[in-house]
Amino acid sequence: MVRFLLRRLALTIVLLLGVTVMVFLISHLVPSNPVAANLSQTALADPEIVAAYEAKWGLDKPLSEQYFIYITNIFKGDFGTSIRTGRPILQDLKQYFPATLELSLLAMLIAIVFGISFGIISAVWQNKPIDQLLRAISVSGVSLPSFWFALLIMSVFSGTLKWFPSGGRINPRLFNPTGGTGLYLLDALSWGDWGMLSDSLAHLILPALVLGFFTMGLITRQTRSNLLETMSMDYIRTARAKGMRESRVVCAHALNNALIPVITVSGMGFCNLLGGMVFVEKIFSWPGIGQYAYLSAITLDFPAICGVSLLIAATYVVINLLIDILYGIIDPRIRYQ
Amino acid sequence: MKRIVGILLLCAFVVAGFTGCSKGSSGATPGEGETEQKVIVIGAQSDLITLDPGHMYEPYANMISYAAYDMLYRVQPGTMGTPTPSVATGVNIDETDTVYTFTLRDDVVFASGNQLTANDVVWSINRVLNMKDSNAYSNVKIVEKVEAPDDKTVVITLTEPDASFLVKLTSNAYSILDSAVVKEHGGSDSGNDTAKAWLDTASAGSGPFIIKSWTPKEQLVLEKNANYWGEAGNIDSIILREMPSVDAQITALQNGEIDIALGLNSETAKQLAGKEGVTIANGSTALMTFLVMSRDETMSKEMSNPLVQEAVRFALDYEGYLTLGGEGCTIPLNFVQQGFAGALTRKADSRDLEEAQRLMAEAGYADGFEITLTCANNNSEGLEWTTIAQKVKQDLAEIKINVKIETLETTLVYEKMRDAAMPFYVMFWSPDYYDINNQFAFLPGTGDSGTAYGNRTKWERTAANEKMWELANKIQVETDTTQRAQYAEELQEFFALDNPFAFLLQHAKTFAYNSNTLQHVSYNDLCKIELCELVAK
Repeated sequence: MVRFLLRRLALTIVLLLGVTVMVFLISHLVPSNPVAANLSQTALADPEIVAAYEAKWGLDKPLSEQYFIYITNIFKGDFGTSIRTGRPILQDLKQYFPATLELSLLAMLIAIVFGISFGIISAVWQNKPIDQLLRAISVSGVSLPSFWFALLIMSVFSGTLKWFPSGGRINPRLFNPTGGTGLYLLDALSWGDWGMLSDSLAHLILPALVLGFFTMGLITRQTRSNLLETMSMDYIRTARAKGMRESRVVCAHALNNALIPVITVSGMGFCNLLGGMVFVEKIFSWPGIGQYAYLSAITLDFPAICGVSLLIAATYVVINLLIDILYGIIDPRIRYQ
Repeated sequence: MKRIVGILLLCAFVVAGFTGCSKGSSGATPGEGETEQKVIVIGAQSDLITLDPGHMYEPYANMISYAAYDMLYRVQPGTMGTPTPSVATGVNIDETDTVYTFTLRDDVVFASGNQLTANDVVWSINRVLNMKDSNAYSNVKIVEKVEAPDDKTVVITLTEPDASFLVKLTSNAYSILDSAVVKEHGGSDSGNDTAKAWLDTASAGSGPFIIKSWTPKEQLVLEKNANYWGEAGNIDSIILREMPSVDAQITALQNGEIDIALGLNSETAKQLAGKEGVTIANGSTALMTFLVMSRDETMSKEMSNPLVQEAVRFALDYEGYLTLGGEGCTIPLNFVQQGFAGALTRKADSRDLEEAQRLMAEAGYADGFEITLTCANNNSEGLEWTTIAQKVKQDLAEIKINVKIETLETTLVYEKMRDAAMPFYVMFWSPDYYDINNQFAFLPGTGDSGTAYGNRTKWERTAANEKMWELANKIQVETDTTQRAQYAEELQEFFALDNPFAFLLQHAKTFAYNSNTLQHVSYNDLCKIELCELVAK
């Protein structure tokens, strides 16, 4: 296992280096440059300002030199400075990533808890009205455009019913959290601030629901089909023949075997969440990494684009690694060399 | 399962305990025995990327710098850039029109308690003069030197006469910083300034508010300046909350989560019409949307023809564009916005298809031609450029010009514009300072001494159009407002005879506020909502 982890770590470093090369090249293939994207129209027409700007950000150097400087600095722990915000990339990522992580984790929790529960119910009561209903919900989950669903859910639960706030992470009139982890739920718990805990949870629910809905649909469908397949196997029939309670047959015997593909889907679903984050963050005014990535991309902020890409790539790698480890835990027959 | 949940909770408490035990979540709500704080929340999609006055240039920048800093001159509330004395009591301009001597008020103190002196003004201007890579630098580069003969006098010498200098003084580039405080945080007036990081989270000004905190793309908190030297308002705190979604702003305003929704346009504001306690308002902006038609024959022989360009101006249905723009919009005759010296407007019913067809025939294109109209996936005050392009296509079909619309990313369009590589495109313009001098970027002239749009359209400066520059040179230095307006009118009328543009709209800003909690909500385009003028009920 240790050798397996070390090999994965080495491969991860190579992969991340590859990501920086790809992102750097692709970003520079765009027939525009940060000067046009970041200077005002008046400044853009002033050669003195343009020259000073290019010199400051190293845009006047050859691409290979720009990359060499960038990658050398990364090995020193310096991810560069954002051309757009003028702040260190690490500072920006540290600010935005906790918001995204908190939202993603709750969205995944919703997706997994409801997805697996709905999948089990659907499989156990196959073709019954409850199965039809849950299948309809799961199909909606995978087919509804997230921006439309987000607007709908905000209009109903925030606009009409006024049960939840319309967006943001917290009520700014009441709280101004500083320091801490940036994960407001965790911070509120550690500070023992129950008001902040309930307020930040209220702000989290709608965006997490929208974000988790798609993955929930995937997990429901995967759980249902796997469970139905497993339930038809001989060892399940044997368990029933032994007089075992149906709930134990499903949960203790069938579900374990049905869960392996579900874990794969969940892992990929988590990564997909990051992709769908831009719309949800925009609609719910969620100050996360999706908005940062979008703004960096449209202003051709190369260091920021590379920083976000590295972070997302690292997240993918970690999630895949966790999935591999979970396989071994759930199915002891799977062992890594 | 219980064991797993228990372990998870324990981990959460331990991690949180280690990482966050020394910080807190203090808010704006009063404790026992405290009086109720008046907190105003503004919902907007701001474009703020820094709060350092030496680097700010974004449209929302002045909203914040006006709250936290003072300048020698400020914009008179409710006007389009009219300068009025602030820290300066007045100005004396010498006979060469290049030396401005300002006398300062003697009662101005910074939030730190330090007295504001002429040395602070000199230091602040020199700081920006040494930031040549900054957008704000374009507003101060006219300054040759700045001196402080004594504590209450500032002498600014310009590189050349500039009648718009007092207007430029109203921009954030001329914010007066508490030099002693900023120096402690890396500030320098001779280059290599490193105070930006600190100025992004705090302020060192003498305005009615101080910057309490800023979390980019989340929220900015302004708090009343206890040492404010002027007449303080009744608002204790203002929170600018980032809300990229207009729908979220509308819902939040109705729910009472925010007091002002700043990101509306005339169309989205209709959702709030007639709602109890909500007032919809609009204010004039200097933002213009226009069509650019290059004079470069190598890109389009047809579209570069001045007669065709004139025909396009006659063929456009201006009333239709006004409808698209919504309430408060106007149609500038050409490159000077309403609110600037001598601005002229175009009549909404000035479409003349017969004249347009005659001009097309005279140019030799009676049977029309095909042309690509490039537009970015951008908008002007919520009006999508693709919508404008569709309308242009429809209008020009009447004179047999077959428009093919090409939509590109905004940065790509900017780059192509810079390279003068598009024959026909939609563009917008918002001035860096609110004066007609800033608009000379539309006059003819190519090469190193050319203008921004002269180069972008390959519009040569010739003997035939030299009169424009003669008038512009007069306007540039004329300090008599009546005379300046006359020159400006003459220039616009001459410009209208031959130019490579079709100006479609000068936009209005639509916003809404909670009239149960606020009064005196006024707008001027330089600093958007005038935070210093806000009064809470």
